[in-house]
Amino acid sequence: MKNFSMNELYQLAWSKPSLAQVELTHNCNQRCIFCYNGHFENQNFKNLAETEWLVIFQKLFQLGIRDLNLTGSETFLYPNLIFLLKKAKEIGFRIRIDTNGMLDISEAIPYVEEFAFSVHGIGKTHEEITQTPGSFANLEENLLKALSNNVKILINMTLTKINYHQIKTVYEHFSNYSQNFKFSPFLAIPSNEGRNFDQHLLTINREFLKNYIGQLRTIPAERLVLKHGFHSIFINNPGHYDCSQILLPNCAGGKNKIVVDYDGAVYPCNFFKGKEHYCGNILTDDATKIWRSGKGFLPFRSLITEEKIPSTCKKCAKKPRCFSGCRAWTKLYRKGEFDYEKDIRCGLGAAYLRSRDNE
Amino acid sequence: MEKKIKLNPVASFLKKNNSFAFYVNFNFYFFYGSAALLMEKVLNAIDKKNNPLDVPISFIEYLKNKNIIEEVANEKF
Repeated sequence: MKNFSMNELYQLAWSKPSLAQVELTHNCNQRCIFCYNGHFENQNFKNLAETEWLVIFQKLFQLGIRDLNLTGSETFLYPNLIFLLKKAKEIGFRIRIDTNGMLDISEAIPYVEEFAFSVHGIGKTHEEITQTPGSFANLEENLLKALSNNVKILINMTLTKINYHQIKTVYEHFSNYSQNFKFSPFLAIPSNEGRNFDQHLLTINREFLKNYIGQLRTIPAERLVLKHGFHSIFINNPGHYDCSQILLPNCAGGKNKIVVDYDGAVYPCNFFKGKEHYCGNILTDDATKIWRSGKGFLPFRSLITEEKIPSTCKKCAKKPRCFSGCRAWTKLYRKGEFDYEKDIRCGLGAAYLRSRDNE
Repeated sequence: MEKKIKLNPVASFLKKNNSFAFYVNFNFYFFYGSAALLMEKVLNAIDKKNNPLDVPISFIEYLKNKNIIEEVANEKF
């Protein structure tokens, strides 16, 4: 890498995004207690037309994106979803759908590389969280349908006080059917735009993180998917952070990921959808301009290129991949600020490497 | 059918001091010295009608394997 500075290589890597997380519809048929989108009763949002989504898909492809992740709300509520999937596949995308499994997925299977199912527990525990009676039976039926079709599957489990005790139960329940899925039990984050669920929020302290990490270690490493920067807390092997390689930060926000809302609005991350992080509307604005100078992307980039991270993190051997962790896990997240803020889990989880700042 | 080469649309590159850095599919590739001169020739040929290439076939194969360039059918112009 002689002749090139690390900042030049970052800029090169971020010159084109590779992943779009797209919310086709803002409607949902569940009312999960932790919903980061803030769904409440009796809401009905207007969808963009299919022709408008096709324009957006073309723009995303031209931008360099090849991985299209259709996220929640509930993708299967979009009226002519199969038509859009077919077109997206023709354009050249690899498609992943995040779903709560309430509606039949059969017709979508031929177009989809991976399904990510939201499983928040077994039976009544799942339904206590989704606040939707009967939702577990539908979910299980659709998940088994995907398993029998050999589609890649990720099981997402959002952890709160209600379901934390069921991490192993969920993993074993579906392992009885097949070993052909990956599992991601991650901590619920109270989003600024989402529901308030403080009474169900897990208390993050040293003892809890020790227990959580212990539970994650019981899942085979090849089947465990870590999210929201937990890699840097979970992985302590110094070789993973070897500076002789060119390492890129874990967080994709503003670097290789673009989030597109149901109305075409673009944001850097699903947890940063306030007006201060609005990057433009991809339906009406120039996509390249949005990616290069969208105001919501810039702080995610300058955090790294200008090292706007705490001194504790600058000393930590995990910095090349971590860069102070997930921005939604900082003390000031709810105020929309994150420069020079540390991920609150790091010290508590004794995650700092070659640094004395573990608490 | 004749083939012509083009840059992989998901690849991006930076040229500095007669060296090249490429980024594609989460990987970096660097070209210095004589390799950079060959890369210069490849880039000059891209998007030309018949892009004739005065570079070793092994170099082209390497670039194809790393998804830096693609070979596409040379349609009639």
